[in-house]
Amino acid sequence: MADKKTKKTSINNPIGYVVGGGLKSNLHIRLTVPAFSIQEGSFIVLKSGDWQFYGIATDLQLGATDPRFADDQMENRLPPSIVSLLQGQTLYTNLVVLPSLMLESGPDLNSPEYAVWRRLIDNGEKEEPRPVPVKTVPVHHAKAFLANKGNIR
Amino acid sequence: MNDISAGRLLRSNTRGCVVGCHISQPVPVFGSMINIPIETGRVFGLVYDIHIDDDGLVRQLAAAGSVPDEVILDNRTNRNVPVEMSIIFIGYSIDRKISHLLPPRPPLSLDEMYICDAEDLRNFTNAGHFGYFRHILSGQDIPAGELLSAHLQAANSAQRDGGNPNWISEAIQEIISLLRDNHELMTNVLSAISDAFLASS
Repeated sequence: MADKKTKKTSINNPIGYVVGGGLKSNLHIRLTVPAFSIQEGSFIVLKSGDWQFYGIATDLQLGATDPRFADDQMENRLPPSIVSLLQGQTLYTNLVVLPSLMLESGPDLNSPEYAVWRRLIDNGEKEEPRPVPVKTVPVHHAKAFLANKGNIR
Repeated sequence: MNDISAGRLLRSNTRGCVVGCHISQPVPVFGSMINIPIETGRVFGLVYDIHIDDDGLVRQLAAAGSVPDEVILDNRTNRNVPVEMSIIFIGYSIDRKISHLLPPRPPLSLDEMYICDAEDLRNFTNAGHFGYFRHILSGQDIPAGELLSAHLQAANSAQRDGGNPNWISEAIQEIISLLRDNHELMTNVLSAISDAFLASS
């Protein structure tokens, strides 16, 4: 597992994965990058199957698998290497994302299914995908990314 | 593979066994990994308890005032009651393929037990992904923290000698992952591991 304290964010690297939420209660993303590298108001892209979901970060929440892990200052009892491993798995930050749009992105570009999907669109048998108001949610563990300029346009 | 017998099996079940040995035999230390050859391969286990039961003569000697050194030596080397070791099974091998599941059937009485050498330790701990930790962590009446810390020390030493210094971090990460919903046991286990590694550093 990558060290959350040192892992950097970039457009191509996932920042976390979906762990819960819903259309009305917002989506919850378990961050795999340091909390301070994401800010409220950031545009977030979620990739789930043939769909991409777009949303805005509205909140960051600190959590723990057991509240006692957050309460105890293990640094006083355990060596730094073990504390680092422990905190990496028991303490986390959830990003709350308000989903707004979704876009059918189709199968993977390198897969044979993509050519079939594209041909249907080019032949007019299927509508050209365009962003539509969000009507469903990404699956559990769908990866989250910071949006790039192309996503925002 | 070590071929010096460290005792013979007294009784066993699917989860573990008790092995008896003479004081003159190489007695494994607490946390040692052992193996017991069976028809189809080997059964692997960890020593989690070593007990030295009394016999009638020991009670009489203990009650006597002063006991000459030669009597003590005679009593220790010519004991009728063997040193007993409790073993928890952590896996088995068939045709050299190692599994971290419980053995299909326990070994039989009087089967011989051997102490695993560094190569055995490396081969066993490199197989799978720490699946045998669950046997240790779920065992009843087993000092899980102390046993894991003793095992990790020995396995870490073997892995470092084999050129894999990252093994210990991966092992501790797996323990944390298995116990992250059990604060009490996690604290206990990690404290024992810390004590072991602080003592050895």
